[in-house]
Amino acid sequence: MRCQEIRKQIAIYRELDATTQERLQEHLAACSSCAMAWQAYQRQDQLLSRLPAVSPSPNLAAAMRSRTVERRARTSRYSSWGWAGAALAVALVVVAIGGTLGASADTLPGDVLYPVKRGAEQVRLAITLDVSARELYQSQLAEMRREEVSEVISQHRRVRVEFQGHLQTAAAGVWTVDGLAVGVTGGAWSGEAPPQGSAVAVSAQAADGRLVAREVRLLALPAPAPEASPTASPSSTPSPTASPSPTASPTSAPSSTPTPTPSPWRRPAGATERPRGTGAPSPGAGQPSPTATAKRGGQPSATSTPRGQGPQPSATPGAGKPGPGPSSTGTPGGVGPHPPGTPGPEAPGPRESDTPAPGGPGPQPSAEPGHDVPTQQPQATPGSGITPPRPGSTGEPPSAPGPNPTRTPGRNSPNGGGGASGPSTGH
Amino acid sequence: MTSDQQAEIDAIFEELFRDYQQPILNYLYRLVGDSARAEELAQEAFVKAYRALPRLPNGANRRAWLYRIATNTGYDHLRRRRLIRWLPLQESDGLSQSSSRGDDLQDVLSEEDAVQRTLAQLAPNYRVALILYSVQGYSTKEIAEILRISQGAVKTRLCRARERFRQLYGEER
Repeated sequence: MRCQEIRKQIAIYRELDATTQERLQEHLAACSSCAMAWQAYQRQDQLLSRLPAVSPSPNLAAAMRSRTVERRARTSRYSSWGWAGAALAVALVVVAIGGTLGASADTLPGDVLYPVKRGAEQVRLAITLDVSARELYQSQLAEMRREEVSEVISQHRRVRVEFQGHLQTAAAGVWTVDGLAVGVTGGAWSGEAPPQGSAVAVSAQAADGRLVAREVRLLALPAPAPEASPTASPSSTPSPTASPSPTASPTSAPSSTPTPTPSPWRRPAGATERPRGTGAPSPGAGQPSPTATAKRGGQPSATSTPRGQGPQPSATPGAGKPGPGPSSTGTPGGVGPHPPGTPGPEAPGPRESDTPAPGGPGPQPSAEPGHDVPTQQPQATPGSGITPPRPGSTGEPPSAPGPNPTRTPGRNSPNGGGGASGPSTGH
Repeated sequence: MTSDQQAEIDAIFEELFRDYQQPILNYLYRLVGDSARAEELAQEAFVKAYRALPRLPNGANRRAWLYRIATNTGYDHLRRRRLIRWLPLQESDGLSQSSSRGDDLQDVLSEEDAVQRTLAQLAPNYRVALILYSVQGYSTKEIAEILRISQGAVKTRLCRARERFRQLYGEER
């Protein structure tokens, strides 16, 4: 047996079987070199086995647990808590937003959260797509603005306010607008005060329990007492001959009334700003509506009906500034988009005797919404004879450039002053 | 993994740690020559084992598997410290703080110190084989399983390790 082979065997001498060990002993007896290696290897094992052992520190077990089993358990718990925490955070945000909105509900101009309140109103207004609901909400906002002004006055706050309303009295430089007394100087209004019942937008400074106007804008003039039309009997039977012909020219004279009813919203002489969109009759507006005439009879020009009440306090912070407000788009008033033959949400009253079959689409180019046709002649609009019981829905002279009664209740823009007829007309 | 499976894993690991924490610690101590470092490496090895335990096939030799993890952990450490071949004297527990060799020092050095110093000078693969065989008492077959080499390779490695140790120890003494 070669020494090289023997060295391998004695290196693992513990594992040698009896036969191999016998042959190994024979070789070792004859080979001193291998015998010395054998002794050295045995000594190595003795030395190595006698090396002092180290004991785990007390911290080892704890550290191991912390890094393994307990860590996994913690991770699981944290995972569960993570979802719970996220849900809690979302809930807190919702509660915070809701709380802020709730807290802002009773704020007044000058309060920190008042802009939040106004913003929330605008959001609600924007997402209210139903025209009727939108108009109702606008009227509520208008009333709210006036209540806010009253409260501001009673609290003697010094803050700027804006609102809209109907002029009730104007004497000695003090106007009363829907119960709110406003001092009006020459800087805020020049010339004679508009007639009673005019819709005005007021931007005023509240201080020491008083209101001093900084700017007054006329939105619409009051409607004169309507004439009772002999042909406007609700019970009258529609006459086929009175139906507008589909080929009727837009410039044709109204066939429903012998004479055009004077516009209840004549252009104010003292108005310093020409409302935009004047002369843009919208469907159903600016057209003689015998039905409206009949219904309006005996009613005050400034109706107390919230809906469609033209002058409303501005619902935007920038109220009172002329410019393209929502009203200019015709959205709040809901007047523009309705073609004449489309019945609106409001129930039509008794139709004019010359009104054709309900819903009959009158081919009236003049009734196209949004088109400013100054030469348009008022006509009885078949199907659009849904003339609400409000001023301004009666036909006005075609060329009358007065405030567009079909416009949305004025918000920001004087041309919106025609809101008196806005919500209810054109449907 | 279900909670029952996780509980089973936890139980197996607890058993492994209880049975092998001291052998693994001493094995790593022999390998790196530093008790504090050995304890850190033992922790690291057991953490690796805990994470890998769910992937361990049923019926596998858990002890060989655990030593393989500890060996690789020790190798990594030695590689990082560039101590593959030589371990500085002052980093070894229980060794003389003197780096000089002389007759006086020879007298001071204990037999154990000489053995530890000799181990430190062995190549890691020889060191591992010798420690596993002579200190831990494993068979060549088990060492082959731990190191994932053939049993013949283990025998050859052991033979060379012994010869090298013999030579170095003779120089130490």
